[in-house]
Amino acid sequence: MGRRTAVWGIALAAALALPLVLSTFFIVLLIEIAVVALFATAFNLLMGFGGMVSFGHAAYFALGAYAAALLAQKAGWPMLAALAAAPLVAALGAFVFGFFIVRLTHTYFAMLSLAFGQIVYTVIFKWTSLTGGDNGLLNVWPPTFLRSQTAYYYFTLLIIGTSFLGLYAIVNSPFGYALKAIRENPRRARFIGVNVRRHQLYAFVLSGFFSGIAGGVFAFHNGSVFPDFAFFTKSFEPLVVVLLGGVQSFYGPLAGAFGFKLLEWLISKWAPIYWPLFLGAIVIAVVVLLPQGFVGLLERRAWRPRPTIAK
Amino acid sequence: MRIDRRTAIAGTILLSVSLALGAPLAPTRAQGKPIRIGEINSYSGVATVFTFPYKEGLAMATKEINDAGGVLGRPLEFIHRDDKLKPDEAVKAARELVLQEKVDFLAGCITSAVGLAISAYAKDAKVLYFATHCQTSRLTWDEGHRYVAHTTNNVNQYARVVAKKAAAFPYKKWAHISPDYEYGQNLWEEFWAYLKHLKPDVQVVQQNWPKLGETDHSSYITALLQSGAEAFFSGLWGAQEIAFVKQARPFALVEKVHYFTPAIGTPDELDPLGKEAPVGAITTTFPWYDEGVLKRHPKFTEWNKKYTEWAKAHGMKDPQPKLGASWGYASAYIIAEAIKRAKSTDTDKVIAVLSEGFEMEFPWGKVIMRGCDQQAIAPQFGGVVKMGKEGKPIVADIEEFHGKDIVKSCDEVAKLRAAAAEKKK
Repeated sequence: MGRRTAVWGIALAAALALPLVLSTFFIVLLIEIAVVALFATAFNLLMGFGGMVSFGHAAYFALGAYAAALLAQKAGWPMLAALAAAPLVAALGAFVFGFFIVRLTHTYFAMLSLAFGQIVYTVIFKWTSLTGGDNGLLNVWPPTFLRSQTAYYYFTLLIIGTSFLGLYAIVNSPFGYALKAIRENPRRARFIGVNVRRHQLYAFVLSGFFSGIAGGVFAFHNGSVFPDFAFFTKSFEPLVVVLLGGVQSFYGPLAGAFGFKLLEWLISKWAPIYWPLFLGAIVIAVVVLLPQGFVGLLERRAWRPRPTIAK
Repeated sequence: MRIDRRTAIAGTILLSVSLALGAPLAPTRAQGKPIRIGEINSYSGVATVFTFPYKEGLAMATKEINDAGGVLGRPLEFIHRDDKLKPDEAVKAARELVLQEKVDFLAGCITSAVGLAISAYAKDAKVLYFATHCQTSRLTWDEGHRYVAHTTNNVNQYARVVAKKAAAFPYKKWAHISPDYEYGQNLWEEFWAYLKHLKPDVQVVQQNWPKLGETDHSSYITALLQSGAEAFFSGLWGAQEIAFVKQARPFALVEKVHYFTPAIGTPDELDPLGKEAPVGAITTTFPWYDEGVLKRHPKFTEWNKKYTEWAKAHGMKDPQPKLGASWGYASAYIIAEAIKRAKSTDTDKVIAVLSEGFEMEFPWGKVIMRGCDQQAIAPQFGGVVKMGKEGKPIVADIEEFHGKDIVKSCDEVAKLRAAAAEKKK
């Protein structure tokens, strides 16, 4: 216990100290990594713990981002209020869509989630008078006291750190265990008294809620929101991040987010034109060679060999 | 226990990676170091018919400038990033270039949504941004500010060339097809307002708004055929317009409804079409092959030769001059000129030069960098698509315009800006 507290203490101290040693660009990158990590962890609540692969999860990220941007810009809400509304709007969206989506399994689940995701995208894209269409909404900036990247970094750390604690608690709660039971064997879970569909819907709504937080934080960081936040290619970002980091570990998406963003930055710097090719090759290599992702790599090098969890 | 160790390792790696990345970042800038310009453009997807030649033109001009001693004794250097046609990618790249690469200026853009997004970022970050390729007029007009300059013509100039030509035809019933985003909306607006101004009895019978990058246009083609329009305007561009023309051929759309479009006549789009070119279309072009134009602009021929050699040496599949190439070339020279006149890379000093305005001679004519809106006013060439020798399509009957004779005046721009500011309140 003491050791564990020490590790977390060091990690927290490092996170707090980083802006003092890093240049502004890396602070920006860290904010983006934090956002992607939260989005991917929220996604992994469904995929890694619930066994449900959503192909339209960008919708909830975008709902959060657009809710925050629209409320701040068009309704004139203060940033904190707009940011607080973001996960609620996303969760509401996840509830409405999830109600239908969790009725299906496997490919049908993935395809229906994709369809709802594309509906969100199309609405944002076509509703030009409200959303600015393809131009997006520009100049969505936080208030003065959060304008510096360092200030916004600490703000992000606070919100996203809290969200991580929340997600950690959810995964390790009876609800989290019920979710894992459903993933392993839905029928058996039902026999022991778990209301499978309701648990899946809750997981969907929670996942949407935290994706919405990531979207809201990102909107003010980026200063602008665009319809592409909801496009299906964006939905594959958390998928890739989770695969890179490790599916079945709570920390997988965090490790994956670091790896993904750093790779993306380094590759687009070295190969500005052919970057997708290189990134694609690396993703393939990781998925093939490291079935448990980066976290699996850490475990393999650990002192004690550990049996992989059979799915 | 297991979690402890894992987290410990992860934490250590995280920290050391971050520190390692952060370490070499102490800024050092000596004299004679390159003037760095972060250039963001679409180097993948539908835009590459324009942006690959553009990049070569830019590189050729940069080489010429640097061989001649550079700017203020320092070489000019462009650092490229791909925005994948997406404004959010562009903003991300702009931020990385400014914060990490420590560029002196930003440049680039082919899609107008990208241009507006970079411009909003530039204004906030107080970095000067040279928009080089995207064409929405809102960039320097309604949404204009001191941190953005536009080194190529805007929509207003070439939409008005096509509108002037269109007004000479007897057509009253018009339809259009334009990509559903900033450029398409802006282009259609500008074209229609000017045509209506020249010829008040025209009417729109149908509007079509495909998505940017849409590949299947068959439903729009049949809609255009059934619209009852005598002529239609197309704001499509790049590979999307090439695909549209190819798909329209079996329906003989261009033969049945007269086709007006600014982009198809550019060699960037016409050359890849070859024998499938839409003969009879009224369009604008970059007339590097036109004898009349070459006679009027004696330096043009030499430039064409230079570019072809350059493009061949760099393995371009189609080394002939393109509109994109001329824009890249002109942009590099205009940026260099602004810095030269400012005698400094200081943002405020360069803006002061731009806001006064200046003129430059290019092989294809005079480009005016107008002070009031920091907008380039460029030569424009309009004509009709015909089949040239050996099945190579060209734009013939070329009429030469200059932007300054058709573009909105400084007073009109001031009114647009005031109206936009009023709307935001």
